Formats: sequence, C-alpha cells, structure tokens
Amino acid sequence: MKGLRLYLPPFAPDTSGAASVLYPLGGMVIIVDAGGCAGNICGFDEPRWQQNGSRSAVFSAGLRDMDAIMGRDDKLIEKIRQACLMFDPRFIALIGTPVPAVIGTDYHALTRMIQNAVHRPAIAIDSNGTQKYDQGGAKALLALSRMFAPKKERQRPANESQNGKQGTLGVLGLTPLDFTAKEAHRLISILHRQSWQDIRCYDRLEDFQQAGQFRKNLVVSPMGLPAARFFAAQFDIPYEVSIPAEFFEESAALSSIPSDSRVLIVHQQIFANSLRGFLRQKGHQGAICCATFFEQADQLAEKDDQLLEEEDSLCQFLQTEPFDYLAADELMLRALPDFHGHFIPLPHFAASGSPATAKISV
Amino acid sequence: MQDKKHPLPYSLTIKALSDLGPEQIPTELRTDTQLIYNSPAALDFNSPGAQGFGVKRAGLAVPGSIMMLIAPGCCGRNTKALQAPGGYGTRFAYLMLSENDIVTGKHLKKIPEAAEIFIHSRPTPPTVLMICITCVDALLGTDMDRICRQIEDRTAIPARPCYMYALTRESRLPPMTAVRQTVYSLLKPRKKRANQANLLGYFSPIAPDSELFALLQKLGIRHIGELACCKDFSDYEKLSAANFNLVLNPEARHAADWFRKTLNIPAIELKRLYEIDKIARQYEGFARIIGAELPAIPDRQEAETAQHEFCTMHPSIAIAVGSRLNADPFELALALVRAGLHVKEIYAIPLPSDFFYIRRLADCSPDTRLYTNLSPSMLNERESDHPVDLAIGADACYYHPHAAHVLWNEETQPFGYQAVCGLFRSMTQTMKARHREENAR
Repeated sequence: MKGLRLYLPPFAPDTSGAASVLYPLGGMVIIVDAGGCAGNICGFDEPRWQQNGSRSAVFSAGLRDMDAIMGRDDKLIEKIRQACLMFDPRFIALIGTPVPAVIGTDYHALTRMIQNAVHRPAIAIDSNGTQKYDQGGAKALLALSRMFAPKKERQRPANESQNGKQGTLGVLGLTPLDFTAKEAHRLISILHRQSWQDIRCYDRLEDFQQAGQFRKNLVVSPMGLPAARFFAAQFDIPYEVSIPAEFFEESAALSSIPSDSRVLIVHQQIFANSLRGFLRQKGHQGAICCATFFEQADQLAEKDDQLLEEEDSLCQFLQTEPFDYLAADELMLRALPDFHGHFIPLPHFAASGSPATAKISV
Repeated sequence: MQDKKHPLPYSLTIKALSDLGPEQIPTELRTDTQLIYNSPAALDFNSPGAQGFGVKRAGLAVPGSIMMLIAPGCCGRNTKALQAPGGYGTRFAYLMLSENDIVTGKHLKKIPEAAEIFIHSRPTPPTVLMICITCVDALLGTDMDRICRQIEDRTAIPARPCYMYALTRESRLPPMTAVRQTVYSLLKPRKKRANQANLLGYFSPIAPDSELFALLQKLGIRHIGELACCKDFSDYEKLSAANFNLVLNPEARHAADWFRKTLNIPAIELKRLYEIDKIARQYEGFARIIGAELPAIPDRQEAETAQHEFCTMHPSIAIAVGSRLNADPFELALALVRAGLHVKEIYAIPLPSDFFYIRRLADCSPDTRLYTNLSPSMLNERESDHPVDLAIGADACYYHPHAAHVLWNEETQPFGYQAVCGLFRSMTQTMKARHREENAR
C-alpha cells in the first residue's frame, strides 16, 4: 500500500534537508511549526547540535492552533523582529512544515514582510514534511544561491591557476545527512591532494557570495544538482557529479566483492554511482545496479537502475532480480527478511538516522 | 551569529518575578510571545517524542499494544530512536501522508485497510491498535474516533486515537494530558478490591525502594496497580478493580476524572516533594483522608541524614536547578534553599500555578535568577558569565558543561523520602568525584 511502512521508519524529510544546509551559515532559521518538527530536526537529524556543541539560531515559530486557524502571520513577524533585537543574523530563513502547507501560507508575501520589518534578506523554503531530505536541501541551496550569489557575470581571479594549483572548487551537497564529519574531512583532504587550492563547501555565507568566482563545482549529493545547474547557467561554472574513487579505497569490505558477482547498491544516487564507478575501475565485471529511495536524475542513471518508491519496492526488486551482494544501510535488512546474499553495510544517516560505525564506514 | 544589544541571556530575579505576580509574567518568559529556542536543553519541551515520553511512546504503555502513526514523514522521523535495540521494535508502523493527503484528507479512506495489514503482519494479535495523528489532522478536523470504529469493525481489534497535536500544547487538554487518559480507556468496570490502589501519572515505574509502597502496605493497601508494571493485558485489566487512585502527577488529573466518571474510582493527589517536612505533612493528610493512623516511616531519617551530610560538606556551593528533571524546579529550589544551600539560578518556564513556590522562594532567596530555556536570547548564554559549582537537571547541565552534574532525569520515578535521599546521595557522590578529579589534576 502506498505510504505504508511496516519495517522502515521514515527517512530524513525535506525539512531536515533544508535545515542541514542552513545550520552553519549564521542566519536565523525559523522552522514554521508548533515544535514537533523542530524537535525532530534538532533532536535527531542534526548531529551538529549534539556532537560538537556548536550553537545555531534554529528556532521554532511556536505556532498554536489559533495562529494556524487565524493565519496570524503578523504575530510571527513580530516574534522575528523581537529576536532580531537580540542578535545580528545575516539573513532570515523560514523552513515550511505541514502546518503552513495545510493552511496555504504565502511564503513570498511573508518573506517580503519580514525583509521590510527587520531589514535583512529573507528566504523561505517551501518544504512540507512529506518530501525527502534531498528535495528540501536542494531548495535551500538554490534559494541561497539566488539570494546571495552576485548578480553580475563571472570574473576569473588572476591567480586561479598559479603554482600548479587549480583554483577554487565548490562542493555542493556535503551535509551530515549524507556524510559524517570524518567522511567530509576525508573527502576534502582527497580534493586538496587533487591540487585544488581552495575547497568551499557552501557552509559559509561567503561561499555563496563568492560562488561566481569558483572554477568548478563538485556535486556529491543530489541535493546539490539544482544549485550546480544554476551556477552553470548564471556564471558558466562547470560542474562534475561524483565522489572521487579514492574516497572508497579504504574499505576492506568493498575490496572483498568478487569481480564477477552481481551487486546491488542502495544509497543516494551520486554516492551509489560513484561506488559503482570505483568497483568498475577496480576491474569488476559483473552487473552493478544502483537503487535509491531518494532523488534519481535520469541523466545520471543507467538503464537498469531503480527508483524505489515504497518500502516493499526493494523486496520486490530483489525477488525479480537476484543479486549476490547488497550494499546498503543496515536498516534495509529489516524489510528484507528473505535476502540470503552477502550484505555490505553502507551507512546512510538520511535513511537510518544512525551514525556510521567504524566497521562500515567507507 | 553575534549578540547585539543583550550580551546576556534574559533572566530576572525570583524577587522581581514574585513582585510582578502571576498576572504579569514577562513576555520573555512566555511560550506564546516569542520564537522558541531549540537547543538540546529544551528538546523535550519542543518535542516530547524526541526525549523521554512523548505521545508515541506513551500510547504504547498498554501491554500488547501497537501503534500506527498517520502523518507526514517529518513527524515520525525520530521514532527510529525508539526502535533501537531494547526499544519498541516493530510495534510501530507508519502511514506516510503525501502532499495531496495533507491538503485533501484523502488518506482517511486508507487507514482501515492499512490498519488491517499492520495487524495481520504481527505474529500475535495486538491488544489494541493506537492510531497516532498529528497537527495535519488537527487542522483538517479529522474525526478519528469514527475512523477507529471503522478499524474495529474491520479487524475486531480495539483501536484508540492518540492525539499528537503539538498545536494544542497550551490548550485545555494538551496531548500529554489526553494520552494519559487514552492509555486507560480500554478498562471496563469490574468488582472492586477494597485493598487495591492505582498509582497514576507516569509511564515508567515508581522507584521500587520508595517508601510509598511500604506505607500503602501498612495502611492496608495490599495491591498496588501501576500501568508501567503491568506484565500483560490481564494485569492491565485489573487496574479497574482499584478502590481509589493516587494521582502523583498533575497531568494525570484528567485520567483520574475519567476513572471517577466511568469506573466510579475516586482519586487522591500526592505531589512529588523534596522538602522533608512537607512530605511528612502530605503523608499525614493522606492517612487522615483514608481514615487511618499514619505509621512510622523510617525513611525520613535516612533522607534527613543524606541531606545533612551534603549540606555540611558543601554549605556554600552555587547550584543551578533545571526543569528537565524528576522534580518541580521551583519546589526543589525552595527545598534546597530551606536546607541551607545556595540556589544561584533556575531554568524553568513559570506558570501562574508556580507562584505558590516562587513567592516563598523570593522570601528566602530573592537573588536567585530565573532563566528560560526557550528564550532565543539563550543563544547568547556563556557559562563563564554565570558559573555554578553544581548543576541539577539535564538543561542546567547543558548550560554548565564545566560544573558537577546531576541529571536526575532517570526513567524510574523517584518519590517521597526516597527521592530526597537519592538526590542528595547523587549530589554527594558527584561532588566527591569532582574533588577527586580536581585533586588528580
């Protein structure tokens, strides 16, 4: 049945994806909810709250039933105005939830009223809690790019290719929902070794403001694709969609896969595609299929790749297409009681909400 | 993020708050007038489901129950944490709503079929299916009682709605109050046992070493019913044989009222207190009400000794008391001050009903400062501006990472002299460990 989950809990929603992009940027992030959505984000999907103790101005709008019924946008604006007297946020960001979706909140008008009231840039992410994290993250990256990237055409900096260095690389989609802090650090180290002079992960507002000068963007999660396309159209900045093969080289489990075996990889599309590329580069001859419960761009998919819509889609697919190896988050095994092949754990926080453990981390 | 005009988080002295009175609680201390700060310190306020007992976990307190969450994915995301090993396993299922559903309410037609699939997926039939719904259905005005009847007709399994309506948190019947009644709603009238009482108010057990149990035994109450201690549904059904209920948490008053109206079981309220004299007086009053003579309770002596030992060893330390703990923060602060200790600050949201303690606290410790976890200004909080030696409560510990910590928020609920004794012993052990660490450095 559509929407029914007996074994797999919900994946990270669009609200969490948007919050993960906005968290480190120094803005005031307001989750337009009654409290529960904010609790899900800050208490579960945002490990930065818990792990390194860094504080961010992530607030709940604290909506109550009469606010929703009466549509008291003016009350929300007044709350934001009061909070701005305490801080100097660089921008205001609203993250939508099911409540404003049901009452049809006009975000365009709301952000204009906020800008007039507090004299700061305001953006709204029209997430509604029913979509997945990559859609919310994509909306947030695109909204930030549109708001803060310079309006004029790109100007290449003079020192871009000096000293054998390649200039500045932007990395789009590097959030804790897809990469642990350790993995992100490793990815950046690899990119530095590839002669990139400066790596910008769009985790500072300046990265968006200076994005017009970057030499290239690297998209490591589907949430980064719309922003990469925007920068390509606006500033003629090329983008590459992959995770470097070196990123996967430390995994002993992946190296143990026989080269003639049939492998199914379940993850976000770019991670899965990159892992497939790594295995083929290592000489894998057997079929490798990538499947995802998240966004699947047609132009990045091979013919047999699968978009999994429902919980039982994975089980049904495995019944029709037997695979020797399954590489996926361990959570998926709950929905696969009859899978008897080899399993390679491939943690994905956006799916399981479990921090990666050493045995699996690639 | 840089602080601007208020370098310090909002706070005021207890004396100032007492002078303002319950009618003029400052807007900075109210939850409906400002954005709500979402730090880990305030997590269980913003989303009770994220920590401790929220509606989802509470609804599963009935033995053999299962729950289906009817909501957008974002509402059920943190439920994964409840499914960790040792948790609630596969007792949860989800019917995830689409964008179309949340606007049109189309999902309502699917619920009975989804419920049937969920029930049939279980190795044994559940005792009840809890249907948990969220803000979306609050706004759509869904008649979930009717849908539960449809489920019962289709599956022959009882179904009950659990309203996880965060939007109605400050209404007459907030979600956590409503669910405290829902979990008893399967009880049916049965023959009363004169020597049985139920303990209402918590979803986890009262500490088994609390003197409350021995006291009740001495007063002739041989059978003590507790929802959290029911091993199976048969145990649960016996709760309706009680002669009276003891309400240990004010949030259970609505449930107690339901017991009185539906099962003809009256209730007596006992409060969790940390002031030893007040505990004694409460027990005296209780004995009077049930027409018995109060027996000697040796635990009082033990509590006094634990308190005395701590107060003698640490007479001048600065203490912060939070509200994410097994106590009423204002009552606990007053108890500590009356024991001779220095409560430097409290983290809590004052309600008009708290002024009973606030006024007394203002008389004996007027300079104690009150902070609220929920104020956006708490983002500006720096421990070095207001250090303390000992923090009690998860939120106070969050704001004072370098102080000695007593979380005092364990699931097993302390009560009576046992709570006083346990708290002071924890405080003593924590301070001893702290001194050992300091000496080692």
